[in-house]
Amino acid sequence: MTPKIRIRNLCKSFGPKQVLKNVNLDVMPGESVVVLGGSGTGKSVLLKCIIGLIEPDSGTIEIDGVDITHKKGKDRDLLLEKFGMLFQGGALFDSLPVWKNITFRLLYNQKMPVDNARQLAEKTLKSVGLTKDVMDLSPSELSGGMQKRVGLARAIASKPEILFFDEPTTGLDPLMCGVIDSLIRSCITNLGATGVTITHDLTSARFIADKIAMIKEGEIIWEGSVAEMDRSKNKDVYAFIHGHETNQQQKQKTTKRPKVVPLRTRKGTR
Amino acid sequence: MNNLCAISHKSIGIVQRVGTVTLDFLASFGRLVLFTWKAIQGILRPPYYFSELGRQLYSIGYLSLPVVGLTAIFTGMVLALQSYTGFSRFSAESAIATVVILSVTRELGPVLGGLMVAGRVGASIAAELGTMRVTEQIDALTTLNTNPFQYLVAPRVLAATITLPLLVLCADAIGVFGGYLVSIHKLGFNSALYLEQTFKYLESEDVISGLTKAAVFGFVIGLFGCFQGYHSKGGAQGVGRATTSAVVSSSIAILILNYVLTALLFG
Repeated sequence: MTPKIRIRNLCKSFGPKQVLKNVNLDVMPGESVVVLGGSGTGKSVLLKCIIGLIEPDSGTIEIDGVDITHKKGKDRDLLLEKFGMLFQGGALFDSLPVWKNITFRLLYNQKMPVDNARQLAEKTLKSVGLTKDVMDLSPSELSGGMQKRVGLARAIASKPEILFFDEPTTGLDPLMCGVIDSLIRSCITNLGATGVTITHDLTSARFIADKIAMIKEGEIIWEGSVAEMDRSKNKDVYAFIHGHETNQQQKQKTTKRPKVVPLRTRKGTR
Repeated sequence: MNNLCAISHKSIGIVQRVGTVTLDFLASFGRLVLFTWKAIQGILRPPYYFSELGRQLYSIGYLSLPVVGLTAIFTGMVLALQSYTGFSRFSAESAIATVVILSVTRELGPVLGGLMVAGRVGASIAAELGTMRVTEQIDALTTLNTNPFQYLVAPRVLAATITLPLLVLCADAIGVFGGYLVSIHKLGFNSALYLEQTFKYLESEDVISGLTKAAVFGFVIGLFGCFQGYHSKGGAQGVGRATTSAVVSSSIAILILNYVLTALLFG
């Protein structure tokens, strides 16, 4: 079976700093993959390379078996029609009301009639748990959680084949995180779409992912299911899940630690 | 020997700095040329976003009218007063009306109008696009299959190019009216004679050259505002820097282009 997204030996540097180092990743059709990693590990750059916002230095990105790494113009436009994306901060257009944000692609590029666009916006809002009351509001009048939902509605409105989620739960309270995670999962399932999520939120990753790819210092260091992740003996995976290193690693560090001899002692302590 | 080494190190440091500044300048210039080319392509190639163009025509043109009008009326009034002070010394007061209209239409209308619009509109465009850049709205546009040059840059540059000549036309009329008010009510000129003198030596070329300048200035204001905003980075501070750069660079460009255009049109 041809992977929906196939990434091979992807490299990207910004000046002397190499952000992505030979990244290899396969995402199968209908699969929800979460790229998990700490801050500054290259998650966002990887996502932007796939979407085409950043051009990689070397390596290939294939969608449905077609190399799209350096595609531009009309070919890139056709490709973008397959994509839907939820940005970290929502990235809603301030100058447009909510309904126009949701139907932007259909309204401006596919020239959908206004009445149909409004109906679609209402339907899509409903699917992300919002009512039509917010349709004519400006994005600045919405709360953070509502903005994320509208962003999600915009991402799914044109029924894309691949959905990208950039840190979908960052900045939200735990309750709202759960709501957004459920919505992401249901959107992927209902649309039959392929999902790629980048996050450092382990709870979200557990809920959204069919497969998890752990990224560290620009390299995919581990791949597997959620269950495999929990059983993994990989030291980086273990450290990420538990917030500390394995007992064995800690022991090794303690035994290796050189004896510290104080140079000075406080008067009277001896 | 040590002193010689220190001097040679210092010289290398200076050359290095000059080299870095020169390379940075050339890189920025290259980026600007490329940006201009993409903006022109965005204006000429479909799809055209007429609703966005309409919004910009209103925002850049109509909303700038009070600022430009106010500048023009006081400029015309001061021009009449200052000309009177000078011309009365050799009994040439009758030339005031001609001086006012020629100065306003050929020079002051386009330049002062351009500078005022650069301050108001250039800053606003840079701030809007800069905020869109740092909040990933421009990236979102790209993922929604929309070329930011066609949706964001083209309408703004086109609207500024169209509206500045119209604003300058209004500024010309208001400026001349300002001169008229001062000449009639303060300096005691005869109204009919003043009006006759005003239009006696005015040629269509005077007005057209001013409007041509205004169109070029409008293009520059829109372009520089978009360029700085589009390339802004680094959060709120970056947006602030972009806004300042947009106003400063477009104001300087207006002053330089004013000389070039004057030399070309009247030289």
